[in-house]
Amino acid sequence: MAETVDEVIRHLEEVVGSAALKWERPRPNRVYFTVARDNARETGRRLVEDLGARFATATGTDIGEELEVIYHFECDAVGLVVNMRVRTPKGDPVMPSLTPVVPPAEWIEREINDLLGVVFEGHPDPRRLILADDWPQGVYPLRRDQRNDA
Amino acid sequence: MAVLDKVKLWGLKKSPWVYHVNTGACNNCDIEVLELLTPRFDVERLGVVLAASPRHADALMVTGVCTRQARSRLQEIYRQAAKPCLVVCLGACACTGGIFQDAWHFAGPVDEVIREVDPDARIVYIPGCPPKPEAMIAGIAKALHDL
Amino acid sequence: MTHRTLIPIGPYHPLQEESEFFQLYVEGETVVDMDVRISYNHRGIEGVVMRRTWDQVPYAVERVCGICSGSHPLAYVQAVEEIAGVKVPERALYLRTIVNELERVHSHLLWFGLAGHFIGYNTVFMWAWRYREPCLDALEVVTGSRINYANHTVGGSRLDITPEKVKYVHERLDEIDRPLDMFISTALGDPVLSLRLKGVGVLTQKDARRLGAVGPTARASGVPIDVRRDDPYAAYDRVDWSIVTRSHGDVFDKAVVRLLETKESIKMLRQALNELPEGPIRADVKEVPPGEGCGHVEAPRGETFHFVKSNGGPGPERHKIRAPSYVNVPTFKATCIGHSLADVTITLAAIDPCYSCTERMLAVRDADSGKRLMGFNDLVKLSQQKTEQIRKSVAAG
Repeated sequence: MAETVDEVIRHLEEVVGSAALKWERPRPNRVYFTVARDNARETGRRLVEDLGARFATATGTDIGEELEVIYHFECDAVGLVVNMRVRTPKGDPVMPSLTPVVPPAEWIEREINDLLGVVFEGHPDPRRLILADDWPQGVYPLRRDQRNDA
Repeated sequence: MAVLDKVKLWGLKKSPWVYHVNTGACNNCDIEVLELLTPRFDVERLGVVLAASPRHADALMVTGVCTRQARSRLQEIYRQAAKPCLVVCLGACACTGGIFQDAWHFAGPVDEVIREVDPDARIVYIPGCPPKPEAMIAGIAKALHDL
Repeated sequence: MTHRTLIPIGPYHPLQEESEFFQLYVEGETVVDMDVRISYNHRGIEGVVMRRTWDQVPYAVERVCGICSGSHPLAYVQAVEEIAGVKVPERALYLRTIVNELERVHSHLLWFGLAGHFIGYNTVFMWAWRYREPCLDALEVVTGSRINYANHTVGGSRLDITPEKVKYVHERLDEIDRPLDMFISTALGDPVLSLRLKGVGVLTQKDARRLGAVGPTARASGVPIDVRRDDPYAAYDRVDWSIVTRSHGDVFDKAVVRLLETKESIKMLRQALNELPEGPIRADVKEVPPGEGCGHVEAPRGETFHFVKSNGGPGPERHKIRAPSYVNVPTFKATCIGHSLADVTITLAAIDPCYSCTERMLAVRDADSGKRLMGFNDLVKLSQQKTEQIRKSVAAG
C-alpha cells in the first residue's frame, strides 16, 4: 500500500501538469521545477490539496536580474522534497502570495518581503515581520546590490 | 561616600538581585543563567536572586548582541534599573557582538549602548560562548568583590 | 518554594506602549486575538554565513538556537554533502546520532522543567534540570562542550569517541533512566496534571496539517511525521526505535510525547554506543561544486530545514535556515484564540518555542481600548493559580 518515491513523483507530475517546467532530479528524493509566477498560487494549492504535501519553508535569493523564491514542500511518507521555483524581475518584484491557499507560507512570505523586497500580492497580512521598527523602507539586506546594514 | 550609598552597596554585594535581559541571543547563555538556580550550582546560596523587574535590580545580566529592535529597550531598562546598578555582559555576544558583529541587525555592542545612556556605567564582562556556569559565578563574585 | 524563588522566565516589562513579542487581546478572561513580533531576536545570521567558508558555517549556525545546536549544523552539513556527493563514513553517522539524541534528551528535560514551572510545579523544574546535568556532562565529554558542540562538519565528525567515553555516557544514561521513569509515571498518573493539562491548548489533527506543524507538536495531534523515519539520516535507519504519537493534541499529549521520546532516545543511544563501527570519522571534501542541496533533521522541536546553494566558491552563495518553531509558533492561532487566559502560557510553552522567544514578553491588552493589562509574570501566576484551584478541588473531592 505504501507508495514508493517514484510513484509519488509520477503523481506529482500529474498534479502539477504542464505548469511545471525545467525539471531537475539531482537525487532520488529531491525534485526541482520552475513555474511562471502566474501559475505559482494554483500549483502551490495543488501540491498541498491534491498531492497532500506539507509546506516546509521558502528561500528567497537575489540571482542577478531576477529575484527567485523557491518554495520547499515535502511528501513525508517517502522523504521527498519538492522545490518549486518562481522568478520575478527585480524591476517588478511582484508575485502572487501562496498564503491564501498554503497557510504556513504566511510568515516566510513576510520575511522574504522584508529581506528581499518581493511583494506577494494577495497576502492577507503583509506587515513587516523580522526587521526592526526603525529599519528603513526600501533597504533589503539580502539583495546583492545593497550594503548589509542601513 | 554617603551612608545611604554605603548601605546600598552593602545590600548589593551581599544579595545582588539580578534582572535578566535578553537582547537577541541564541538561548545558550540564557539557559545557563537558569542553570545557576538549579541544585548543582545553586547560586541562591550566594545571595543571588533573579529579580522580577529592573526597578528591583542591583545588576542587569545582559545576554545577546543587542539587535536593532532591542536597542532602545535595553537603554530604557537600564534607565529604569535602580542605581547603583552593575551591568554584566554575559557571553561573547554581549561582550563584543561575537560572530554577529557584521550581521545586518547588530546594533551593539552592549557596553556602547549602555554608555550612551550613562557614560559612567559600571560594566562587567564575562566572556564565553556560552560561559560555563562556574565562569558566571566566578565572574559575578569577582565583580561584587571589586565593587 | 517561596514567592522569592519566582523563576522569572520572563521579565516584567516596564514599558507601557511596548510592542511585545506576543500580544494577546482579551475580552474578560478570553483571548480574542493574538499578534506576534519576532524582530527582537533577529540578528541576520543568513548574512553572516554568506561571508564564511564551508567549514566555518557550522560554528555559526549552531548559534542560531542554543538548544538545537546539534541540529542546525547537521542539517547544514547534510545539505552541503548532498551538493558535493559526499559519502560520510559509517562511524561518523553513528557519532552524529549520539550527539543529536543526547541533545534531544537534554532539550526535552529542559522543556519538562519549564512546563512544570508554568503550571506551578516548581519542584518539577528543579528535578528535571538536575537530571539534565548528567546528559550535559555526557555531551561535554563527547564533544568538549556542554552546549555548542561544534561536532558536525562537512564530511563527518570533528571529534572521535573512545571506549572510556562510551562507558562514561552509558553511566550518565544510567543516572537518568530511573528519574525519567518517575517523571513519566508522574505525568501519566497525577490527577491534578490530568485535569490541568488534558483538553488544554488542543491542536486538532486537521489544523496541525493545515498549518504545517512539525515535531512533538504535530505528533501529539496524531500527525505521524518524523524526519528520522521519513528521510533517514545519520544512523537512524540502523538502530531500532519507534516514532511516538498521540491523538488528542492537547498539552498533556505533547508532554507525554516528549517524555516517551526521551525514552526512545535513550534506547537509540545505547544501541549507537554499543554498535559503533570502526573506521574513519571524516570524509575528505576538497571542494563543493555548484549546486543546491536540502538538509533536514528532526530537532527536539521538530524539523529543522536548511537549503544551501553553491556557486563553486569558498562558501555558500545562499543558505536558508528554518527552525521548527517558525512553523509551530503560528499554531497559536488555532490553540489560544477563543480560550482562557490562564492557559496561554502553558499552551505556548507546549509548542516548546526557543526559550528566549517565550521569555520575550507576553502582553495582554484589552481588545477594545488596547490598554495593557498584564505582562508575562502575571500570566504565569494566573496559570499557577489555576493549578492550585484544581489541586484544591481534587483534594476536597
